[in-house]
Amino acid sequence: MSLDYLMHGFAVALNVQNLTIGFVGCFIGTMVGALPAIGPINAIALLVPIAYTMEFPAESTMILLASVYCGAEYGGRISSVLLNVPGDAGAVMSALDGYPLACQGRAGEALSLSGLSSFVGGMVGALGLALFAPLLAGLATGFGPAEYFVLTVFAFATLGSMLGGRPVKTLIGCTLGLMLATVGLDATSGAYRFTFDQAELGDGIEFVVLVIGLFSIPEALIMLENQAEGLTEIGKLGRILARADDIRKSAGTALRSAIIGFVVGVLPGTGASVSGAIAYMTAKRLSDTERTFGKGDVRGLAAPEAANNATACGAFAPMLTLGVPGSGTTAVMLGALMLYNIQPGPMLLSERPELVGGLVASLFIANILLLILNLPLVTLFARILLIPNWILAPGILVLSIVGVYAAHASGFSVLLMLGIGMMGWLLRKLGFDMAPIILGFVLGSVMETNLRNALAISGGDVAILFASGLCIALWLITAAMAILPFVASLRRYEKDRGPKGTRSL
Amino acid sequence: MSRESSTKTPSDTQTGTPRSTLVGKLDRERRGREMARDDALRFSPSPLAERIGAVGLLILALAYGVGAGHIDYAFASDPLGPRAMPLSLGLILGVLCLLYLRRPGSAKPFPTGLLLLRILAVPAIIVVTVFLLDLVGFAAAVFILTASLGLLFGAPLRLTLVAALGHAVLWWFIFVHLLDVYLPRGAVFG
Repeated sequence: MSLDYLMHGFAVALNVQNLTIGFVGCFIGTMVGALPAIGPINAIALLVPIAYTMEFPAESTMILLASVYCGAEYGGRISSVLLNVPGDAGAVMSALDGYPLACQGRAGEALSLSGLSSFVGGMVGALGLALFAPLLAGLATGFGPAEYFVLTVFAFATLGSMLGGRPVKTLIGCTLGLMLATVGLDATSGAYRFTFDQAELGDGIEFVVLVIGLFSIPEALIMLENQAEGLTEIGKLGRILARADDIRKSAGTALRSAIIGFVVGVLPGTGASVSGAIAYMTAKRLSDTERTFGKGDVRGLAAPEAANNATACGAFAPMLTLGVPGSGTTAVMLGALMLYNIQPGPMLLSERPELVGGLVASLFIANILLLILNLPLVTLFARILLIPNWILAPGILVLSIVGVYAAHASGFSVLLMLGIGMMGWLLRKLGFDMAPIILGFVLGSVMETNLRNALAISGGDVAILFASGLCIALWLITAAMAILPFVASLRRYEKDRGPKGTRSL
Repeated sequence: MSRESSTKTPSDTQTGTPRSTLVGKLDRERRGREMARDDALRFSPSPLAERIGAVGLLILALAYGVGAGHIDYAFASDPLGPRAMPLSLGLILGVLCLLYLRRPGSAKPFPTGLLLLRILAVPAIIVVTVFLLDLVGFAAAVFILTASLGLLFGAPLRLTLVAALGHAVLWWFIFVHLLDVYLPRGAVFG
């Protein structure tokens, strides 16, 4: 295994332009992470067209987006701790112990400790990615069209089983994404599918239009619904440096959670919200001997923070080496790479080492920058929460319109984005997650092309999908992933039934 | 309520909470209840929403499936052709919708009345902005968009106008001067 690509990557990431881009990305990321209304996906969706229009090289765009992603995972904790409102999906669990700490007047300490945990998570994740990516890429070089098809099925199964209690909604979301991906010219047969004689739809729905529509428009509408003018004041942070005792107490938890987070991140389709929950529950089970979790235990704060940052880094592994995103945000980044006509896969590492290496190196650099930014400037980032919705929402909409308009200079794209946005709003009100739609969309063409190629090779014999050992192994893992939620619910059912049965005796 | 306050008062007295704080607390609770009632009026609980959503998606699956069956193509170099994937997706969505219809979850309440109108005004404002872009140019269109959205959010008029001016100048400067993005200057300004 060679880590030359990483050395090459550091040379790329440390040049002045990319370092500046990384710093700006970290800053923007922390800001958007702190704002409960905007998550990393929104920010990245809005930045993709801007970076593209500015003619950034692919590696610089990736460094920008990766820094924003990492920054958002850091920033998410700020509103979790201060307001009990998670800044992004990854920080949901951070509120459980972070907010009680803030209530005890230890907000500054909680933010500092969670910043350090985020750093541990981010560094472990980046290290894991640096070591694991070449291994995964090496394994994937044996992949043919059949294996790729099964891999995409595996990604959907993982997503369905990991997103908790609503697998049907997740799968409906994936299917909608796959359906949207079928719009446009079918390259194999030359047939136009679902274009309704609109020339603009000939090339399919633009990725930027879909992603901005799905994430920004519903967000602005939901902000209007919630109406809140935002905060008018933020409580005092108190001491802003974590105590050595607390750091010692939570170091082990942070390290263990980081490893859990990385492993969850590598699984295709699962994001930081899942890893935060798993890490928190594991820490609670192993360390909560005095029943202090949920009441302001520093370990309960360190666990999800370390995990969600490690997950963000881990999620790059399947995206870069297999072309299958590890989270909703990496799905958007995959789409961004496609704008540059780069199709991630096992050959990316050998063909574009500067891109993969630059991205991995930028994660190390971003984590160091984020730690430096987040510890002393936490008061400044906390003040961002004071921006009222009536300034924020119009700003998001202006960025959305410009992002879409700038790419095509056509009103049609903006109207299409609006239509998709209204559909997204309705789906969000019905409790649907938007990430599966994006995942379905970016995997749609990969799935269909590989299935059709595999069957073309075999002359229509579906046995090719079960022919190789890799295919069979992937099918078995897929089946396990699909059965997992049912086993879990059965175990819950039996656990619930047990005590009742005892009582009735 | 009286029982609630009577049970709370001794413990609060024991912990030394001043009476004014307690009154403030009760006042906050009362306001909280009033806000909850207002919310109940503003948002109608919608047990049917998920079922309607599921039926809507089912109709989409049917329409998509029918559309897939009518895809025209002269040749296909693979055994599946361009129809197979869309047809399967229509079928899968249909089955998933039936499952969803059987066990709908709990949708978030849908807005009604004035709030719904205000929400629907947002896409209308965006459509108007898009049509105005070429006519009045980017900066003026942003001013109109952000000012009307600010008012929709219930911000005071003067603050809204100042913020909208700020938005117009800031975004124009960032996109046109800093990032060199092509944006219309506006036909009315030549």
